[in-house]
Amino acid sequence: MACRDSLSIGPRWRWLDVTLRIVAAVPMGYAVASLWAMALARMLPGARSEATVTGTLVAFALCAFAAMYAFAARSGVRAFFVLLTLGAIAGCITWTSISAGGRL
Amino acid sequence: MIWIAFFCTLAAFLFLGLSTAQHYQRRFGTRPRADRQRLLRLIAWLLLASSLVSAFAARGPVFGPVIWIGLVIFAAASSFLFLNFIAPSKERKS
Amino acid sequence: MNKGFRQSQSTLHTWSGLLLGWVLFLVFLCGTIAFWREGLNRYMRPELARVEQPMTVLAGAQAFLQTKAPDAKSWSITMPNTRIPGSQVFWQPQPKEGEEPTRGRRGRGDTRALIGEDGQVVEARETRGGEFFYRFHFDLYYMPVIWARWLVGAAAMMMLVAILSGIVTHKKIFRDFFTLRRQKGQRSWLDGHNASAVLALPFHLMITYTGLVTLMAMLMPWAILANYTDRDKLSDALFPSSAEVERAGQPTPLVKLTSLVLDAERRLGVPAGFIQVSEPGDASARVTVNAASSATLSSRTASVTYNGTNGALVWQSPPSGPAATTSGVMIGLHAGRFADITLRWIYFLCGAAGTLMVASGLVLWTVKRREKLPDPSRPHLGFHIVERLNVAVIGGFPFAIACMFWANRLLPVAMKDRADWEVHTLFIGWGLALVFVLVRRPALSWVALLGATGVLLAALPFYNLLRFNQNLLTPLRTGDLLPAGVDISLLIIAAAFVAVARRVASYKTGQAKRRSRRHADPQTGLMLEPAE
Repeated sequence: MACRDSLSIGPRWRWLDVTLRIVAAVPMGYAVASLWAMALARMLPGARSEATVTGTLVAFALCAFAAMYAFAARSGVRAFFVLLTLGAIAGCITWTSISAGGRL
Repeated sequence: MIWIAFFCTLAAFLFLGLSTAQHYQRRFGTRPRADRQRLLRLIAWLLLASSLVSAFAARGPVFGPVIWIGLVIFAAASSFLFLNFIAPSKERKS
Repeated sequence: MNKGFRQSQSTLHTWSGLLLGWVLFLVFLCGTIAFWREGLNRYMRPELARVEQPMTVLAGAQAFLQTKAPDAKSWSITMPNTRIPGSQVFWQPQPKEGEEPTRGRRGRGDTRALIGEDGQVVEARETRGGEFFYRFHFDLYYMPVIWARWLVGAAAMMMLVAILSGIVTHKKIFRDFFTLRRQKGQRSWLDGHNASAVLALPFHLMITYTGLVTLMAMLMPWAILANYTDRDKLSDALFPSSAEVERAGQPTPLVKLTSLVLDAERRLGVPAGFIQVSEPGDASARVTVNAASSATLSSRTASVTYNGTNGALVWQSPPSGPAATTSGVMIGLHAGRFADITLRWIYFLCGAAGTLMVASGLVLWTVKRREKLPDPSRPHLGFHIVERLNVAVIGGFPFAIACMFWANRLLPVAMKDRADWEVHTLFIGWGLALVFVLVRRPALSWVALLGATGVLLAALPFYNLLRFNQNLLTPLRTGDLLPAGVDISLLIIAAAFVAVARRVASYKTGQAKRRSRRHADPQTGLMLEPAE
C-alpha cells in the first residue's frame, strides 16, 4: 500500500489511512456525486427535464473521479475532508435552490 | 466507400506496429532509424485520417464515427495478432 | 505523473477489479452473448421457420387479437422481421372496477402469444432463448431484481474505476501497444490482459459508462428528486405520447393495421418496430406506430399516432432535447440494436475481448501472488478463495451455459415449466462444477471444466444435424443461414476451449515434471526457474 506521504506513516495508522480512503471513495464518493447531480439539475439553465438528465449523466463520471482522487490524495484525512467540502458546497447550492422554490 | 475505410485503418495500424523497434527488427532484420520510424507513423496517421473521412462519407455524420471506431478496434486487434502470431518467413524457415 | 500517483492508482485498479470481478465476468459474458439474442431466440426454437412476409404476420396478429381479446384495454404487437422468430403480441385486459390500470406491463403468460410466419399462433418448445442472457446480465437470477441491479450497478461502477485507473497506471500505453512477451509467466499474462483491454478500449469505456446510464433512474435518482415531486411529469417530458383517451363504449371496427404501418413507415422514413393499439374495437381507438430501434442510434424512437377507426393522423412525436437525445444515444450504443451484421460481429468480438480482459485480470492476480507465496503448497486463505473462485466462475459458468444449450435440445417439449427448467439445468451444472472445484486441485479442475465445455459445445451441431433431419446443404436451400451460422460459431468456440484446456494441461505437466526433477536432485542444489 503506497500512497505518497502515507509511506512514512507507521503500520497502525496505515489501517486508518486506508479505511478513510475507502470511506472517502465509496459512500462519500457516491454522496458527493449525487449532491452535484442535484446541484446541476437545479442550476443548469433550460428545460427542467434536460437539466435533470444532464446532472444524472455527469454524476457517474464524478463518482469514478472521486474514487480515483480518494486513493491519489496525499493522505486519507485530506481525501476525506476535501470530498466532505465538495459535498457540502453542492449541498448548500441545492438547499438554497430548493428553498428559493421553482422547478419542483 | 466503407471498404476504403476498412483497408485504410488496417494499413494504418500495420504501419504503426511496424514503426515500433521490436516488430520492425523482427520483419526487416535491422533496428529502424528514427526518421524511418517517423515516416511510418506519419503515413499511418494520414491513412487513419482518410479512413475517418471515408467512414463519414459512407455512413453519414451519426453512424460514420461509430463504424469508424469499430473499424479502428478491429484493425488494432488484427494488426496486434498478425504481428505477434504470424512469424515472418525467415523465422518460419529456421 | 509521478510514481506515487501511479502506484496509488495501481492499487485501486487491483482492488476495484478484484472485489466484484466474478460478477463482472458473468455480466460481460452474458451481455456479449446477448448481442445475438434474437438469433438465439430462433436457434433455440428450431421448429420455427424464418419470417419471410412481415405483413402476413401482422395481419395474422390482428386477426388473432380480434378473436382472443376484442375488448382489451390495449394491444401491443412487435413488428416481425427476418431476424426474430415471429411477432410477439400481448394484450392488457380492461381493468376491473376500482382497480388501477398498470402502466407499461409486459404481459404475463396468459396475455401473451407468438405469431409465426404463417400468421398463426406458434406451437414451439417453451424456452427463454436468447432473452435469458439479456435479462441475466442485469437481473441475475434467483433474487429480487432490485438487489441484482444494485449489485450489477456497483460492479459496473467498480469496472469504470478499474478502467480509468488502469489507463492511468499503464506506463507505456502507446509504446507497448503491440507488445506481447510470450512464455514469460507473469509478464505474458500482463501483456495479454493489457492487450485485451487496450485494443478495444473505446468499446470497454463506452459499454461500462452506458451500462450505468441504462440503470440511471435507479442508481442516481437524486437529480430527479431535486427537480420533481411527480416522477410522471419527467416520463412525459422524456417519453412523450399522444393524450390518453376515455373509452367511448361504441363498438367500431378497427382499420387494417397493415395499411397504417405502411403509412407510418413512409412518414417516419424508417421501418416500424412496435405497434400499440389502445381501446381496440371502440370508437376512441388509437394506434401508435413506433420506429424500429434498429433504425436509429438513439433508443428513443420516433412514433406517430392514428385514429383507429378512420386512419387519420392524430399526433407525431416531437424531437427531443440534447440531454434526452444524449442519454437515448448512450442507451442505444449499449444495446447495439442499430448494428447491422458486420458491426454486430465487432460488438461481439469486443465483448469477448472484455470478457477475456476480466478473466485474465482475475487469473493475473493469482499468478502474481503465487510467486510471492512463502510456501506455494499452503497459500493464505485469500489466495485460496480467489484461486478457487476463478476456476468455479471462469471455468464453471461457460460449462453451465453449455449444459443449458443441451437442456434446450433434450428436455421434453411438453414438459411443464420447460423454460424455467432449462435455466435450472444451467445452475445445476454450475453447482456440480462448484463441487468439483472444491474437492479437486485447481490444476485439474481448470482442464476438466474447459475441456468438458469444449466437448459439449462441439457435440451440439452434430446433434442438430442428426435430430432435425438436415444435411449440410439445407441452409443453402432455404436461404436461412442463421442456425448454420450459430452451429459453426459454436464449433469454433468449442475448439478454442479445447485448445486452452490442452495448453493448461501440458503446462501443468511440465511444471509437475520440473517439480519432481527438483525433488530428485536436492544435492545438486539446482534452482530451476520457478515458472509461475
